[in-house]
Amino acid sequence: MKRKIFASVICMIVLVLAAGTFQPTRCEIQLTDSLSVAGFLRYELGLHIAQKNPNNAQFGRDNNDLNLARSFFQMEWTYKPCDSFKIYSNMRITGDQTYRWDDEIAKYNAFPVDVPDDDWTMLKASKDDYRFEIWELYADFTIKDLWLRLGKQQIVWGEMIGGRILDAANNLDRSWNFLFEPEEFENIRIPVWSIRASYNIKRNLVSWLNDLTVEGYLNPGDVVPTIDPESGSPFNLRALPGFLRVVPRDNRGKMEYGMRVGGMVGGFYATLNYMHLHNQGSNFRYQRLTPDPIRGVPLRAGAGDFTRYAMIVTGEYEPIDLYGLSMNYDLGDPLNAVVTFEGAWIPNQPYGDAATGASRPEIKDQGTWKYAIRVDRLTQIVPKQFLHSSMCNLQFQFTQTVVEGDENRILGGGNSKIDKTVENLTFQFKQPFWHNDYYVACQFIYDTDDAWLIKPQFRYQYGDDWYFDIYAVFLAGSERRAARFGSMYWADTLYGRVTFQF
Amino acid sequence: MRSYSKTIAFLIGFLVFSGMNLVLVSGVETAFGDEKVPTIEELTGGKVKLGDVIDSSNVDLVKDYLSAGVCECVQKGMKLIMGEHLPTDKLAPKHFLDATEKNKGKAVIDENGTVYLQDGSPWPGGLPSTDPKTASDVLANLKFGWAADEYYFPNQWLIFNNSEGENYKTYKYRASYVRCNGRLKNEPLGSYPGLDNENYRRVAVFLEPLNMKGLGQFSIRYYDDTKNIDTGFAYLPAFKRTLRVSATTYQDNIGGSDILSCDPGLANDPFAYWDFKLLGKKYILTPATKVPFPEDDPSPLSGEDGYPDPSRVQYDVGKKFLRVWWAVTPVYILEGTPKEKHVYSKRVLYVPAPECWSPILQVQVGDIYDRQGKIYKAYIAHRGGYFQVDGSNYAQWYGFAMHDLQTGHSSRFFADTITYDRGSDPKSYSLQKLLSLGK
Repeated sequence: MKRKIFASVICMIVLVLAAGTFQPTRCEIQLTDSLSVAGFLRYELGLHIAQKNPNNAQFGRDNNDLNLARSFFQMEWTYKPCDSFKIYSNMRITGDQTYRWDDEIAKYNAFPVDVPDDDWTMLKASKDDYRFEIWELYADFTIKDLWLRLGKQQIVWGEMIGGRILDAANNLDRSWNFLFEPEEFENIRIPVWSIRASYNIKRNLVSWLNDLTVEGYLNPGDVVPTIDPESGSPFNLRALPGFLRVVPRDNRGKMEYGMRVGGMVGGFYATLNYMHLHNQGSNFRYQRLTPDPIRGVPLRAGAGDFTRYAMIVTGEYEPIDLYGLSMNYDLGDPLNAVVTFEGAWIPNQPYGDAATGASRPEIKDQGTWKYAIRVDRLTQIVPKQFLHSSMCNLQFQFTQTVVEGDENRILGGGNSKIDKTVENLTFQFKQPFWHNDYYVACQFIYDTDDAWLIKPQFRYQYGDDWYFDIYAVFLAGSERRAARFGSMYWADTLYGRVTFQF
Repeated sequence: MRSYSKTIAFLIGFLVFSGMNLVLVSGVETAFGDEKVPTIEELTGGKVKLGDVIDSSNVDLVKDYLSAGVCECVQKGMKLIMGEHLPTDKLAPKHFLDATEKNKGKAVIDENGTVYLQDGSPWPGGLPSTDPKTASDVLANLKFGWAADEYYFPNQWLIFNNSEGENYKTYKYRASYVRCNGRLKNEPLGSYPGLDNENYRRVAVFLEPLNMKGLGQFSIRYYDDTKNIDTGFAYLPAFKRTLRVSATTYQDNIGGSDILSCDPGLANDPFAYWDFKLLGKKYILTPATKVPFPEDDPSPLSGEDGYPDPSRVQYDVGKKFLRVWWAVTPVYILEGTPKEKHVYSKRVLYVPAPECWSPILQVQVGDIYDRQGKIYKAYIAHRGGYFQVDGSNYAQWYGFAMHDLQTGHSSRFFADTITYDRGSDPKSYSLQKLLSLGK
């Protein structure tokens, strides 16, 4: 095993050295006046630097040294014959070598999908260790004040970092890198077929309101749930009891939509949002018991029935309604800081029903608020004549989740207790050096119930084409309930990436 | 004694009148007005002629007509070809020159260069001050003397050049600006209804490399930028989000280059942040607008790939300096010292007189000093040629270079061409546009 890791590190070093032999080239290849292609080749390696993942103990192979070994080839094609029309596609070929390189982990499907993979609309073909897909494919039209984007796309509303309050239109593929990528969600937010339209209202309806825009989207049925790591994979989140059989219920064919209005009111920019969609995570709903002499347990022993049963539950992605508000304000000179607020109210947020508990899982809706306030400031920490680079970007964010009503009536993931409020503090900085050829960055998120995530990063960019990342993720804390950082104490990873872009 | 004083008086008179054209005038009585701008041959007593190349070996011949930064660049290997300017009517469109004449004497200019008419209404367009007497007059010309309602760089490269003269990193960029007031060409003329408190709107987006592609900014500069701070938004393609950003961080480097946000045109931050002094007027050498190539070529200095055309423009010191044409230019010299803590202790702007006025970003050369008072950077614009839009003449403008004279590193904005007066609606410069340009 150690030899394989050593070999993979050698591969990366060879790529680094190879970089020196390439002449710098101009990025993006302009094939014709209106057609261009850009893209990248990347190899990424994640070394596991924490304890064994307890969720993989059941497979007997959990002593892995690698959490990720993956190659990427991505091509972005743009056809833009005029300013008012564009077709864009992002094609990806991805190979995963993690279980091949590390025999301390069981074979698993590195490219899971929770919806039928024979559905052509998903534009992907994959096996356990590779995938080809058209990740994004859309056309943009500008017709006077109307802008339309039709196709498979990511729709991102809201402005918060490290969290998704109004960024809810697309779910995430958390199967391979969870939430740890330096690009945050760009490579894991799953594009879906939708129509997005934005109308710029030029006429001033009232004197105090300017730059009014109305925007909406409609997903006619390409609903893809959050994709979690496969059982046995390095980031496997669940160790479900053997008697539990989960039947996922996707919402393919059901409609999702949203609308927002935004505009400037004095120095404030604000948006009002509404979305109808499906919950990102699944909740279990009891269906029935079925005899299972091998993996079953005598679930009805209390009633004198000692038959070994398996419990069949459905994993439901419940429909929710999200009402949101975002506001931002530039405090201007000399503070040079921007304050941003983003909040959402989901009156029908689904939870587990505490009344039935684990013995007969049911779903109970309870109103939930989530909001965050962030301050951003560009700051000159080290004299410019020493750094020769852009300023340090400092960001501080407070996030709170509040559950309406009696929190004792509901349960979270793994039937964990839900708190009335949960507070997170986030601090993030990014400091470039020497004409931005290098930068160091770090994100620190502290859960006030005592859990935290820290994500330091270093990047070196060589010319136009090459860049090298080293970053790490550490999670810890005594708060180990599901969905808290402490629950992933086993996921610490040190990553290395080599990227050639063109 | 009497003969001695006569000798001194004679010497003083001789020095004043015999070509000592280091005319740093205390006060501004000497207007260039309609005077013919002297040639470099006249200024140097015939020692330098059109077409001559100035380098470090003969720079002393023209030293008095160079900015401190340009002089330093020549000492470091830059070469200048002596050239000429195009006539005024080929630099700026007729409707702008007509508006300047029509509105002559009507401008009411405050200490920060903001211009109104007597009744408090916004400036209708044209050059506010044809004969500047104060620093505010010169600043007013920079702030409201645009000779285009809109300008657009479809392909602009931000090129990083190291101390060995090698270009080692390039970003491709697209930027456009539209005026909301003083509009002379595109309807509605004058002030755009509902945007009469805005000066201009700007949308810019990176096109290359891939990890920068789609990174864009939308910003608004207000009519009186001392009363209303800029509004700014950024679209971050890695996050696919539009974020509000502080648009007043003028000391940040653009993309990590040698160029700070306050540097383009050397007047990109509100003038209220600086104490400006008008040092006087002088003839200096700035990049020439006339170049020895066919006049019907709208962008004679750029090649098909958008970079400087190697068959027409040579480089010196690797690819650090463009060897281009320089012409005698009457300029007003403004010295700015920051009112608040700044990475610069001083910047000196050489603002062309009205007869050499061009549509946008008129400052052609400038000197920047560090906090210790030592020369830090040299700002040099790239000019050459003109073209027509609907029968009106506009000077070509490719961008500018910023040379860090202390480290030898340089950054250059170079556009293949500029487009004027496309007729875009200012309200189409919006978050929607920012989103549509992103990915």
